[in-house]
Amino acid sequence: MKNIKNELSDNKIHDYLNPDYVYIPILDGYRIDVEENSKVYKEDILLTNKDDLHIYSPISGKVIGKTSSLLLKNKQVTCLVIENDFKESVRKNKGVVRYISDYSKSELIDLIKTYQASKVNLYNKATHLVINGIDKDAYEKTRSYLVNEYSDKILETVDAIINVLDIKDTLFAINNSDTNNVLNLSSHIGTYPNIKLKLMPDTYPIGFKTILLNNLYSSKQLDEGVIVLNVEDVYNIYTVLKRKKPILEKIITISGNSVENSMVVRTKIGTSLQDLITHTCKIGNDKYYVVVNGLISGLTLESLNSVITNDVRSIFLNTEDVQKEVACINCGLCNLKCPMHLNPKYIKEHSKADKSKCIKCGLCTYICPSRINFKPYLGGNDEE
Amino acid sequence: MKNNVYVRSKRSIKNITLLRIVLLLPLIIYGVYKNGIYLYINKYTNILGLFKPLVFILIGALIGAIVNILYEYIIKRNKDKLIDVIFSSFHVEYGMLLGCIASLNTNLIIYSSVIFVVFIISKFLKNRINTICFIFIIIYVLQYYLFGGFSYLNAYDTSRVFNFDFMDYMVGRGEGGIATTHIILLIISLLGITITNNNKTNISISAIVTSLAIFSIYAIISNNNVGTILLQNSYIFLFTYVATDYVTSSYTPNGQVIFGILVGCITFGLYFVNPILAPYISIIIVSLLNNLIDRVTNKLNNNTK
Repeated sequence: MKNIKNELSDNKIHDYLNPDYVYIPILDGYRIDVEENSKVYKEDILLTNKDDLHIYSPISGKVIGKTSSLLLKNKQVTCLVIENDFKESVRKNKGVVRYISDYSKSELIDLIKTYQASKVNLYNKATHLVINGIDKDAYEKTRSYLVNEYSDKILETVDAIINVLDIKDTLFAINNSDTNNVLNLSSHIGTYPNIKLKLMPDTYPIGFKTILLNNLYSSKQLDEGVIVLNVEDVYNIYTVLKRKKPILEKIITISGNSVENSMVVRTKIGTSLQDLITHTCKIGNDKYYVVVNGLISGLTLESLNSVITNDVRSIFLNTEDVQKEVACINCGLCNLKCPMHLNPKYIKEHSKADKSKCIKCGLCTYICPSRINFKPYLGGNDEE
Repeated sequence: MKNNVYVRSKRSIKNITLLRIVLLLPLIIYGVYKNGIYLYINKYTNILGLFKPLVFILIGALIGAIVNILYEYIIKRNKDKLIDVIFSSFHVEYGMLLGCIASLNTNLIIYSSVIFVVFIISKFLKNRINTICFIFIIIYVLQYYLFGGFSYLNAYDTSRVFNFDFMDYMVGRGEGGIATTHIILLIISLLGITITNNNKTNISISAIVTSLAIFSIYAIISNNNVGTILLQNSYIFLFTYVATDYVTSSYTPNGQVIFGILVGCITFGLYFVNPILAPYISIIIVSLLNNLIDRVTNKLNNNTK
């Protein structure tokens, strides 16, 4: 899979942390806690829902008002607009906690819930913990870069979680072709005897939670209870435990064959895609599509008129593959390669066929020698 | 737009065809040696005869390419590159396989005309029937009735009486098509197409194992040599390359096993009617059932999950 012309330009995470405006989507059930034209500080509560979950301001500045000009997953959404004053001022500096493993189980869970560091449920009585350091899509580098840059913090957090939740067995899964991280983690992991490094084969879609678990555990072990945290979750948990701060930034891969300088960027949640791309990338070809969260399994956006949310892992500006679809040659590769053991050809031909197990990895479409696009026929659930 | 495709694997009909052809080359080279060079060196044929086996294979491939070009450029008004058009379907490979399974004694005009006409017709039909087997049967019948019989033996074979043992068959001395007799090379080729995932190996293995089992029992009962039955008349080659034709065989893993077993069983049944045509008719019959086999295995799979 090498038809992305530009490998990532370097090994570091670039910053774009000063957008002129941030746009906070006002989702169903949320009420606005700030007034128009009022000043907000970074980390101030902007929105609250009925479960008392908050959305915080990623910058300090002025509340401009609402706009309905942006799209979220191709659907129009009303956003709260905040103008950046570039001061990054906060109301109260909370300081830094020295030992993150000193938290009790309930404190840890409360902090993660309050600051929405992870969507993973940590309540269950799991005996196994898996840290997923493998990028979900073949062309993403977000998790790999995160491990590379913050391996010490990630390991410290995982160790704290193990102690607090009393986990018996912890695996840190990374790709065996990810040489930098294999060396990096191998040299640090000795300090944490409770964490085992697990090298996984470089095959797509091993980064998907379901596939990773099926490769790591038997069904009996899965029944005992397994918590899967990806490294983004762990890094977010570190931030929350260490600084008691909400998650205001997001690390994402920007790539695609229309981007001259592919990179991994840290940016503010709420930054518009248009701003981010304009300020970070050189675009070599204007006839691109915008794809979020993976070239194989991602969603095509109608335009760059969207915002960075917690769910965005990557943005690709890529031209469409225009190879013509021909009649199915019955090769059976879609069936043979499907990681969920589904039969995409059968599902395509029989609308009533059960497709609920599909994880939308897109491997059937990728592998098909007849260039058949199975995506419109496969429903399924996005697992994360 | 929501379902656009941005990246594809490099696997295509062209790549599959080319790889299968490359892995067929050792068999072709041996076929050219056995049915051309060896005959010429021992003065069983003239200089034209030296190239005859290669001519069969090249004509087959050429007709496959011409049919694809005519169909894509004239009928479908395709504007793709010539190389992509030539390999837009498996007809080039079909042509080469027909050259491999043909008898050296086949009339070249009959051979070329039948391939051309059936290939053209097959372009307009939904390929439900194995084209290679269908063409071979027509050529066999025409050769048998219009040109005084059909035989796999070349000039050298007909001049001697042989008593082959197992290894003779393995190194290609047995009867069969132009490039189908060398069992060792065939097994290497099967390994190659299997490792590179360019074959429905479940079909090959199940057909070979089934026929080996049934013919072995028959050989023991009738005091025959199983090698004489199974390693001749291109059986193993047909189970490896022809029964596994992508378009007309089952695609589900279990369906492929059933497909192969049926091919093996029916071949055994028809062996007593016509040992040469038995595998061809058997493959055609089972290829007509391939959709049914896949539907049934799919339903069984869904019920057991």
